[in-house]
Amino acid sequence: MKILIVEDEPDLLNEIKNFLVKESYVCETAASFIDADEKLAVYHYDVALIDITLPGGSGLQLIENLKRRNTDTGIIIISARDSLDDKLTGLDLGADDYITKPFHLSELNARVKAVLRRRKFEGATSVVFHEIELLPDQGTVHINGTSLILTKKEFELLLFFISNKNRLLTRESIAEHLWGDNIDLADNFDFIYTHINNLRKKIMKNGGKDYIKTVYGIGYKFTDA
Amino acid sequence: MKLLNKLTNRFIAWSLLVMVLTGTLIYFILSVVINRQMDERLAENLSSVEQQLARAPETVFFDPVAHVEKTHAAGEKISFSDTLIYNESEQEYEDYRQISAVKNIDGEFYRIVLRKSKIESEDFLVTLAIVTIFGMIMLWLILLLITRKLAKSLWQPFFTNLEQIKSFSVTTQKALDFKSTGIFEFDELNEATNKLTRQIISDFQNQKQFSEDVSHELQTPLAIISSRLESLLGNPELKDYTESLNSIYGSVRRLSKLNKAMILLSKIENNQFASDEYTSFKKIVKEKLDEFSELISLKELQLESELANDLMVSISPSLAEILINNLLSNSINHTAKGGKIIIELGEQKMLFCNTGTQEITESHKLFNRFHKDDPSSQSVGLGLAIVKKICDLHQLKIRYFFDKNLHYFEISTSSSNP
Repeated sequence: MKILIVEDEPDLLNEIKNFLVKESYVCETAASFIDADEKLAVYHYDVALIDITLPGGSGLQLIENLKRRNTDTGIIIISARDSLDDKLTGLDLGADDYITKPFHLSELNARVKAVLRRRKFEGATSVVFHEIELLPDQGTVHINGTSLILTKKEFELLLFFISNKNRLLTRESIAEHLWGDNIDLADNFDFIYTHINNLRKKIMKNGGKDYIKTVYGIGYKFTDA
Repeated sequence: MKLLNKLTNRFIAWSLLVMVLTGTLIYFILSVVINRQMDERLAENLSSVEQQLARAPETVFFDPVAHVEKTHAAGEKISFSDTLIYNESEQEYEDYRQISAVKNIDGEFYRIVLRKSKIESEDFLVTLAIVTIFGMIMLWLILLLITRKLAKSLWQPFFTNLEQIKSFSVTTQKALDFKSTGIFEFDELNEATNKLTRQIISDFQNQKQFSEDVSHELQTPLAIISSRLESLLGNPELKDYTESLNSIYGSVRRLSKLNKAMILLSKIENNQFASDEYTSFKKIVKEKLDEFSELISLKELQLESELANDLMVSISPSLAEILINNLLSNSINHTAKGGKIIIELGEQKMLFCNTGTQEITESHKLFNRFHKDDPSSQSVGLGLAIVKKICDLHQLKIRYFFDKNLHYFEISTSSSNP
C-alpha cells in the first residue's frame, strides 16, 4: 500500500512518515503544493494525506486536480483549521475523511485503514483478528462465526483496537476516538474503563479470548502476545 | 457640574460684578457732572444777583434759594459746597448745592449764598440708574440665553462624537468615524481620539495575532511531543520510566487541550464562525443526547428532556454544537452517579439542569477563563468560558442559578430578538 503525505511542517511530516512506515506502508512525502501536484500526477497512490495550508497553493486544489484525473486514490485531509467550511468543501470535493491537527497517530492509522477498506475493497472486506471478525460497513461482529451484539461505541472501540493491534493506546487517544475532542473527559476515564470492561465481558462470554491488556494508569493494548 | 452650567455661573458672577462696578462708576461720574453744571448755574446766578444788588441794594431775596447779608469781612472769595436744609412742608432734610461768596458791591461787602435743590437731579440720577440697570439686566439675560442656545448647538457635534467614544469597544475592531465639526478644537480632539483608538485597535490586533500565532505554532511541537511519548510509553525497554513518561504525557495532553481551546476561543472572537442561517437547537440537542447516551447510562444518570419546542438561533451549526456539547458535558461531568439531568427547550430559552448538593461558590466567576470550582480537577476550565463567549457574540443571555438541589444553566434569547 502506497501513501503520499503532503505536509509542510517537516517535523510532523517525519513523524507521520516514520509511524506509517512502521505500519509497513510505502510512504512518499511532499512538502509543497507543486511537489505534491507533480507526484500525484505521475505516480499512483492508494491514500493521500493532504494538508490544506501549503506553500504554493491550497490542499483543496490538490484534491480537485486529483479528482479530475479520476483516480481511486483515497484522500484524507489534514488540517490545522478545524473550520466546518473547510471540512464540508473538502468532503464535497471528494475527500474521504478529515482529521484535525493535532491528532493521535493511532487515530490517523485507524482512518487510513478505514479509507483503504472502503476504497480498495468497496467496503466488503472484513477485519479479522483470530476468532474475531468485524464487518465495519454493516457494524456486525462475529466470534467463531456466532454474531455478537455490541453497542455503537463498543463496536468503534473494538475496531480501533484491532486497527492498532499490538500498540499501546492511551486513554486520551481512546477517549478522543470515541467522543471527539470536544468533550472534556479529563476526569472521566472511568467511562472508558466501563466501556472496555463491557466489551471484554461480551467477547469472553461468546467464547473469545481476552486480548485487551490493561497498562496500568496509561491505557490499553490489544494484543495476542 | 456640566461645562455649560459652570460657564453660565461664571458668566453670572462676573457680569454681576461688572454691573455693580459700572453702576457705581456711572453714578459718581454723573453726580460730578451734575454738580459742575449746578455750580456753573449758581455762578451765573451769582453775577445776576450782583447786578441786581448794584441796581437796587434793598432787593429782598428768598431763603433758602438766595440769602444776602452785609458783612464786614473784606476780600472776595467764592466757595461751593453741599448742604442739608430742613424743608418744613416735607418735614425732611433735603440736599442743596450752594455757592457762597463775599462780594464788594459799591463799597459794601455782601455775603451772598445761593442754593439749588438737588432733588431734581437726584431723581434724574435714580431714574437713569434704574433705566441703566434694567437695560443691562435685559442685555445680560439675552446674552445668557443666546450663549446657552449657541453653546448647545456648538457642543452638539462634541456630544455626538462622545456617544461614539462611549460605545467604542476594542473587540469590535471598528475604528471610530467622527463627523467633521467645523470647529477647530473639536476637530483636533477628534483627530487625536481617532489616532488613539486606531492605535489601540492595532495594538489589540497585534496582541491577539501574537497569541493566535503562538497557539498555532505550539500545535505541531505539542503533537510531536505527545506522539513520541506515546511510542515511548509503548516501548517495553523503558518500563522503569513509565511513571515519569506517563506524567509528562498527561501534562502534554493538558497543554494540547488548553491550546486547542484557546485557538477555538480566538476563532470565536474573530467571528470566523459568522453565519446568517438559523440553526435548530432541538436537532443538535437530540444528536448530542444520542452521542452521549452511553455516557449517561454508564453514569446511571436519569435524563428528563422536554424537547417539544424548538429554539431557533442565528448561529453557525458548528458553534451551536460546541455550545450544547459543552453544556451537556459540563452537566454530565458534574453530576454524581445516579443523579438527574433535565434538559428543556422553549421557543426563547434552553435550560440545562443537573442535581447537585450545594450552590457553586463564586458563581459570578463561573464563566471566567480558567475558573475551576474544584481546583484539583484535571479539566482546563475553558468549557464554560467558551459557552459564554458564544452567547455574548450571538445576543444570547446565559444565567446560572441554584434552586432545590438543582444547578440551572439557562440560555435565553434577548427579548428584542424573538
